[in-house]
Amino acid sequence: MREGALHPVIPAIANAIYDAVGIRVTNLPIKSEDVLELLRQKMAFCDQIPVSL
Amino acid sequence: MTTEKIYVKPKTIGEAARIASEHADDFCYVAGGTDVLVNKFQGNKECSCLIDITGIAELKEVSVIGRYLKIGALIRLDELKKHQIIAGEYPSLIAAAQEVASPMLRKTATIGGNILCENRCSFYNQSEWWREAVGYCLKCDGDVCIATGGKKACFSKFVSDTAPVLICAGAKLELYNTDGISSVVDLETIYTGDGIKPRNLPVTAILKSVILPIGNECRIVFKKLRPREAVDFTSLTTAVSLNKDGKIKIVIGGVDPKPVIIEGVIDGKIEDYIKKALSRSRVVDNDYYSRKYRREMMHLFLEQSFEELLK
Repeated sequence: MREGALHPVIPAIANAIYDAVGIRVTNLPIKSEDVLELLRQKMAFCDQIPVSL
Repeated sequence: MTTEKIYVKPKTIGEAARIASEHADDFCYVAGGTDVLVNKFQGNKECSCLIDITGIAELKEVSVIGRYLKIGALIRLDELKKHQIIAGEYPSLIAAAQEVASPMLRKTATIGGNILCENRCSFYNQSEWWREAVGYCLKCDGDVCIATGGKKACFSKFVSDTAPVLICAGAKLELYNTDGISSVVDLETIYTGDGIKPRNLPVTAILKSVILPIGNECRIVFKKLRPREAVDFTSLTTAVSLNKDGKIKIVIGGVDPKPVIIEGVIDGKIEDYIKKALSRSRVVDNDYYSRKYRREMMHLFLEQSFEELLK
């Protein structure tokens, strides 16, 4: 997990996740559990934005 | 590390049982060896005598006797799908077997070994120095359970994938006892719920075969959660069955020292059964995934399984 983070494949996968669902995963390994939690945080944040904006 | 003094490969079941009774306090049966040898080299379970039972031909047979299907304990997980009768009667058993470990391990691991698989915990299945550094847990002669932060009971999880499906199907086990007499027990009754000694079978008994009813028109849905598709042990296994009389059976593995079993009828409220399953599971943080996530996924898997069964 240490040197792994220097290789381009893992950031590419993290970018692919950002491209697909709009969340930035900053921890390795990328667990489905963390992705779900970040998605929830994103949705909770979006809900706070007033509709008039 | 290699502590065994004796390695024997008997040709008959009687001979194997006899050698086992001679070394009753310090031996281990080995079939596929995919777990036994790993546990041995990690120092989890050491013994001075290994009895290799793979030379016993009578444990490798699949036969139909009346309305029962008998699957020999030494049938490898990958071989199950080659038997038409199993594929036709219990496709979910094949699905469960195909989810165990990796393709290479499935060519070695046996169904008997999978049913009797040792309970696992992220604080127990580690190397010797790791366990020594952390402080030994209850399962390796320590004083407290580390996963729960000091409880006096072991919560290592039950990890067999085929057993939940077999319990749903009402499987029985045929055992060969040292006195030479075969006995048949219900699979669901062999689990004790104690993580340190998870099964109540006699030490020297040999599992001969798994007996399943034929034509009981029971549909089973199997689901499994694990980090990587082709290596890991289960974090959560669910099997839900519905038979022609409208009876349902929920069996959950990976969340308790024994399989969690809930029975009911389809007329009842599904949500109540799911709540009951959740409250009966003693999930602790001893896995790759957190306790919270596994409970959430358990709810989801059971909902999805019922949707598939009832559509």
